[in-house]
Formats: sequence, structure tokens, C-alpha cells
Amino acid sequence: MKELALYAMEILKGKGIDYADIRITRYNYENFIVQDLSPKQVNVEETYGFGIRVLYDGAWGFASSSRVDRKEVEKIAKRALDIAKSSSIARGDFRVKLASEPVHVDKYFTPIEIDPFSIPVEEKLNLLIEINETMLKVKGIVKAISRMHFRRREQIFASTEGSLIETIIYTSNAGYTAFAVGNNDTQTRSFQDYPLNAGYEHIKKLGLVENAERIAEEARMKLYAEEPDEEVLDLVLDPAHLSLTIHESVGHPTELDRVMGYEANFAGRSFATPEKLGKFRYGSPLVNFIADNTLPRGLATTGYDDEGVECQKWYIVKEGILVGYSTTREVAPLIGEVRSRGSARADNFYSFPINRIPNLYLAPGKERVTPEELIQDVKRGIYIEGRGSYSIDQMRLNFQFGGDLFYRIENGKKTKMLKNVIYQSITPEFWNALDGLTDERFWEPRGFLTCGKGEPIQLAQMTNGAPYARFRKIRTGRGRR
Amino acid sequence: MKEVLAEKIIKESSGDETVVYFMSHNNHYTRFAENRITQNMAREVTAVNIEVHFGTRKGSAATTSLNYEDIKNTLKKAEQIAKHAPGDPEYVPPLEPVKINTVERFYERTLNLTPEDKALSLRKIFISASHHGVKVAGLYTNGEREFAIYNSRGHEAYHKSSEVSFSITVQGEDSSGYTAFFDENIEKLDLEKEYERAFKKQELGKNPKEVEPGIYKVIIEPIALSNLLLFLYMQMDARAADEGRSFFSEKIGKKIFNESVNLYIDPYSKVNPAIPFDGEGFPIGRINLIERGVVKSLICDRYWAKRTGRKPTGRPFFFNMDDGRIDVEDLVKEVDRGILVTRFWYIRYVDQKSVTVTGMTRDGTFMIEDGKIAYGTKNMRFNESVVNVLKNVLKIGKGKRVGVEYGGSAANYIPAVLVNEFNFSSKTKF
Repeated sequence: MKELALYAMEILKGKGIDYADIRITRYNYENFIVQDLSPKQVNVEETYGFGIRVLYDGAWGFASSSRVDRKEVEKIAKRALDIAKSSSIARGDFRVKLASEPVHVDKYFTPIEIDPFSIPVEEKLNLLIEINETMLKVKGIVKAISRMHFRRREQIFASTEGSLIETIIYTSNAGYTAFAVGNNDTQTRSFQDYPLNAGYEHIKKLGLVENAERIAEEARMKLYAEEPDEEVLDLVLDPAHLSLTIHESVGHPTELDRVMGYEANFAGRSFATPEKLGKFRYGSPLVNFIADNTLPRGLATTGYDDEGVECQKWYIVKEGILVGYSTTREVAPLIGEVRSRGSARADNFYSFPINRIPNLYLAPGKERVTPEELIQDVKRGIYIEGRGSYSIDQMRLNFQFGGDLFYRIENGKKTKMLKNVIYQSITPEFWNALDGLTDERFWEPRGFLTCGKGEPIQLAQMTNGAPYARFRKIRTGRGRR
Repeated sequence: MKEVLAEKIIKESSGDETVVYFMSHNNHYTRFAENRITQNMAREVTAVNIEVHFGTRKGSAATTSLNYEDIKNTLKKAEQIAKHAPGDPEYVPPLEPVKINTVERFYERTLNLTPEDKALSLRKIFISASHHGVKVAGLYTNGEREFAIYNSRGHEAYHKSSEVSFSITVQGEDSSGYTAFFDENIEKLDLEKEYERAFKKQELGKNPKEVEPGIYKVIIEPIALSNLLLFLYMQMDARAADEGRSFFSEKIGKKIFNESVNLYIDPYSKVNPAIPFDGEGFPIGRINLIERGVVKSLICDRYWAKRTGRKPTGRPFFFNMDDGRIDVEDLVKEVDRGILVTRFWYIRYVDQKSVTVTGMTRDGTFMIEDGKIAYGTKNMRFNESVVNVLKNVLKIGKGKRVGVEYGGSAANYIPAVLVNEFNFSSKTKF
């Protein structure tokens, strides 16, 4: 693989190009889905190929192939160069200039204790069946779906600048959902997917079977829960829920390519424009959003990104003020930054790396505070656990979120269960309403495997961690019309 | 070649049954933004997926390599995991041979369009956009896809299609316009006309006014309606309905929607030709889902069909809605006060049982007053049941093919509709 990568770079070096790189990538996947007692997906998959990116006269060309040999590398390198030449016809006065990056010759491997691919298939499937059997025993449960997903990515990156980076990344995930029917209603409750760059040891620690009965029971209880009225209330949100709020209202708007208009046709743009950098009050002084692609077990912790930039840690929002973006080598110079933040990711060998959300988390509070203490200070509010419905406008301002489990808070105590709760806000108004955080004991590295962006759409993975947090005076209502 | 390879794999398999799936696509994607090409990509991927059955135990393995040694290893992996998988209580054997009539969707000329041709035609648009002080962003795709399925019982399904799609967002200082095109035949695409359409929306939307959320009459254009209807279609599953998990529980034969609503699937339709089989090679015929407002049938897989004594339908991922003869411009004339929506964004379920969804308007939202577009509006969030949308249809306009966002080379054929009592729930800042 290494020799082929270097060969590709050698071919392109003498062709009058500005820059080129190659990724030779092998993905191995295991996908298991069990519906009730029926194994619906028992699948292993391997994708193997390479993609070459060429910058010629300030414009990009990219070509890829799943045939990995010298002859094909020659063909694809030429094709990528020809495409770059075509792009340069329609680049106007703009020339891509890449932020500089030191040359790296390095290796990075996800540290794992147990290789998930070494665990017998029947052990994994029997575990999922046991979860479903447990859930289906609970009265009112009509369907149970459980899932596990494992991924190993082996990649060689080489560039004409001389970088040569070898990475092996493991990702493990599991989760499940119970469907309840009764009282003229349907409700679901999930053991939320919890992906990490880790081995099977992560799955063993999740307590999957141990929680199955509770999850099913809570699905059934939701059938009989009350729906809320429209009201302005305080909210206490758990880390699994907040991971999605953070992802949508902080992660995406601070991707610099969106800010600069690259995604205007589909994923959208952003309100967090560069003149706001260093000045704009994104949230209350308690709000610190930290990007950290070196976070242990983080889903974007890959040593280097897909254009050979070393993973880094930096602030996006510091004490409530917008101070940073996620960037790539192409977009960082557009706001005068000299180095990329290392956020260029491609979802396979055949995809062009684009600016993605890094591991991005809400830092825990500095004082020792428990979730119960956050709730104690709420007269009338709602406590939300887990992810539900979610939607946000293309500038990332107006959003509406649901959740997976809801309780009313009255006079400092969690009381009745609610269902179909939604809340709606405007991003900076919401984060400025935050007035309480739990400490690091309650912080969780929740994350996503299927963050969609780009055209054709690419799916990326990143961790968006959070503690529990309290928000004052948020517009809440019911999700059913 | 695929047929021979499949035969070889099936012969070599130790399974009681074997199914071989081939998927290949060869596409060229030109992305543009800020009046220039930003990404320009050639993608050529072939995947082989081998499914092996031992009794009711089943497993599959896939590879992107066409090297026979790699394929043999993939077969071994499939055999290995199938042997170790628990038996499937819902097992159905592979399909028996059945003839599938072909749908012609391949135009060689669509493939002949080069990256240079695309760059030259896009450059004209970029120059015009710069001249008018606007910015364009979009995606221009051409290519081909092939899908083939062969099984140990002798069933075969094969489909090849070409594809050209173009979408464009024109952004002015405080307004934007969007349009999108999909077809198999490059000759049907008039790039400049598409640009002009999006440009005009951007022009019309300048100086947008804030409108108070509330209940409005709306004209929903085809691109917006297609994305909305997807959330209704996802509920139209016979098993989910029988298990009480869907809005469509006990709704067969009932008149739920406005009687002008006809929703159906037909890969052989002239307005929207499509792949005539589903992911397991099951032939797709015409399926009338909603006829004159009455729920006629739901999507039903082979296991559930056998268990409940129904006929299986296959599981297609495209649908059509009967259109009318009225242009959007004439629908506007019917509205005293209402809102025209070009595009919805980020639609998600809020409550599946009532098919209530939320989402935002985007890239061309207008206030209609006294039968005319009065002004562009700032965008709004809606919370509405798709069931109500089809109940409250007042008029149906002309249809258009709308590319399916995640469905590969497929489209829905969807009209514009004028709908009563649509609920906008909140507003945003632009």
C-alpha cells in the first residue's frame, strides 16, 4: 500500500501541479440488526480503494477507484489531474491556497483492549436476541430492535509535500429501541446508541442487557404519560440529549466551509460569520465549547485528518464568546488562519474530504454539582433524557428538539412523566439561557456515526460530549398537532 | 460478465441457497459555490454482496473488489457468518424465477458529457451571477448505475440507468432561490433555464418581510412536497400498521384524504420511469397506495404477506402523485392570502402516529395577496401532520420529477398543491 501511495505522488510531482495527495483506504464493517427475534442484518463488508486529489492552477480534481494496482493508480492520477484542469476553467479569480502543515511521517492506531472483530458472530447476535427477548416480555411492547456496529479503517495517506501517515481506527457501537402500543398511542424508548473509537470492551461496559427491561418499561409508561401544554419553562437536559443540541447548534454553524458559503446548496450556511470572531456572545459565561480531536476514544480521534493535518485541541466558544472554527487547509486561510484545525474528513476512499465537526464538547462546570442539584433550583420545568425529534434552519438559528424521555419538574423535584415534548429556541438565545452545569463526574462522551453533509452526501463520525445542563425560560410545547 | 461470475459464485457456495448482488456506479460530480467549481469528482465503485443461507440461518458479506480471489474470500466470510448466525424465525427463501419487464432508462449521451463540458457551461452561469451581484452554489451530476441480482433458484434481475441531475441555489444579499432537475437523458436539461428560475425566485424575494407564524393557505411546490410526502410514505408499511405502530393501522379502505389525492407506485409509468424491482429482486408493479383519497394498499414484504395472507408488494423507494393541469402561477391566482413554499429543509418526525413533522422553509418563501406574489418572507418553521396536508388539498397543480435525496438514481413524480390550514409555528431571523 505504502509503495503504491508513494508511486502515485511521484507520478504527479512532475506535472506542474500545486499539490496532490492520495488516501488508500480499507474499511471493514460488521453490521448486526435484530428485529424481535429475527436477525434482519448479519453482514460483514469490506471496501478497499484509493482516491487521488490534485490541485492544479488553484483548482481541485479528484478521482477514485476500487482497483488497487500500479496501472490503475497511473490512470486515476491522470484523471484527477485532467479534472483539476477542467475545474480551473471555472474558478474565476479564486485560487485555492492551502494552509501550511508540517510534513508528517507517522503512524496512529486506536488503542483497544478487545478487537471487536475477534468476538464470535453468534455471541454478538445472541446478546442482541437476549436484549429483545427481555424487552418483548414487558406488557405492551410490540416490537424490539437492537443493533451493533463495528468498523475498522486502515488508511495510508501520502502527499506531494512528503507526508506519509498510516492509521488504523476502530469504532464500536450498540443500542436498541422498544416500541410500545396501547392507550390509543404508539411510543418508543431507546437505549441510545453510544459509539466510541474503542474495542469490544466498550460494548461490555454498556450494560445492554441489564437496562433492557427498564427501557421497555419506560416505553410502556410513555403511553400513559401526559402531553404538556405550550409554556415557557426551565429545562434540565442530560448529556445524551445535549450531544445532539450541541452538534446541530454549535458544531455545524462553526464549520468554516459552511460559513464561507461552500455548502449553500444543501447543508446550508451559518449565522456565525467571521466578523463575530472574538466578539459574539454565543452563550452565557458558563459556556465553554472545546474541540478536541485528541480526546481519548473520541470518534474523530484519528491522529491526523484526511489531508494529513495533525489532530488538535482548541476552543470554539470560550466563556460564552465565539473564538474559533473547525477548518481545513483550504478554508483556514480565508479568515487569515495560518494552520488548519485538522477537520477535513472523507467517508470513504471515493469521497472528497470536507470540513467536518470535530470532537466537540460542552466543558463540565468547575464546581461540584449533581443533576439533582440542578433540578432542585427549578420551580417549574421539564427534565429531558436522550434524543428525539430534531430540526434546525439552514443558518443554524431556529431549532426545535424533542427527546426520548421527559419528566415534569415541580418545586425542585422530578414528578410526572410527560410525552411528546418539544422545545424551540434560537441558537444564541438558548446558549445564553444556560445557568447551571454538572461537574466532570457527570460528563459523557456521546457521539454520532451518521452526520450527513456534502453532495453527494457523506456520513462522518464525531463525539459531542456534555455534562447535564440547565436552561431558563425556554419555549416548550407538545409535538402532536 | 456479471452473470457468469454470479453463476460461478453460486456453484462454489456451500450454502443451501445463495444470492449474489452487484451494484456499480460510475458518476461524475461537479460541485460549485461562490461562483466557482469547488469540488470535481469522478467516482467509480462496484460492490458485490453475497448472501448465503443454511436452512433458516443467513449471513452476507460484501466487497468492492472484482478480483476473483477476493470474491472467493468474501463468499467464505458469508458462509462463515451464516453458519454461526441464529436461525431466523421470519426466514423466507430466495425468490423463484419470475420475469421482470425492462424499463429503458439508459442514454449513452448522458455519459458523454465531460468535466470540461460541464465547467464551460457552468462558467457562463458564474459570469452571469457575478455580473448580477449574486452567488450560485449547486451540484451537477452525470453518470450511470447498474444493479443486478442472481440467486441459486435461477431468479435474475438487472437494471441499468443513466442519470443527470442539477440543483442550484442563487443567493442575493437577503434572499435566495432554488431549483433542481433530474432525468436520465441529458438532452432534457436546459441549464440556463434552471439558473434563471432560481435567479428569479431570488429577485422576487428581495427585502423579505417578517411574517407572523400561524395557520395559512399554502402553495407547496413539487420539490417541497416530495420531501414532505416521504414521511407519509415511510408510515405506509403493512406490518407497522398491523402492529399498531403506524397512522395507517386499520385505515385500509377508509377515505382519509381529499378525493383528488392519488398516490401510487409504478416503475413503468411514462412520467417517472424507475427500477422495476426492489432490493431483493422482487418485481415492482403498480401499487395504488391512495386512490381518490381512500387508503388502498400498504407496502408489504414477503414474510408479512405470507403470515397475513396478503400479496407482497416489494419495497420500492419512489412514488408518484397524480398531478393536474394548473401551473403554479395560476394556483397563485386562486389565493387571497397565503404563502408559497419552494423548498422545505430538515424535515423530521415529531410524532409518527399522527405523521406530524417539523421543518423549515428555505430558498424562496413568498406571501401571496389577492392572487399575486406580494413579497418575499423570512423563513418559518412548521409543525404539521402530512395527513392533514393531503386532507386539506384545495387544488392540484402540474407535476415534476424530483430526485430522491438518498435513493440513488430515482425520482418521485410530484405536483404542486394548494393546501388549506397549514401550521407555521415559529419564525427565524432571515
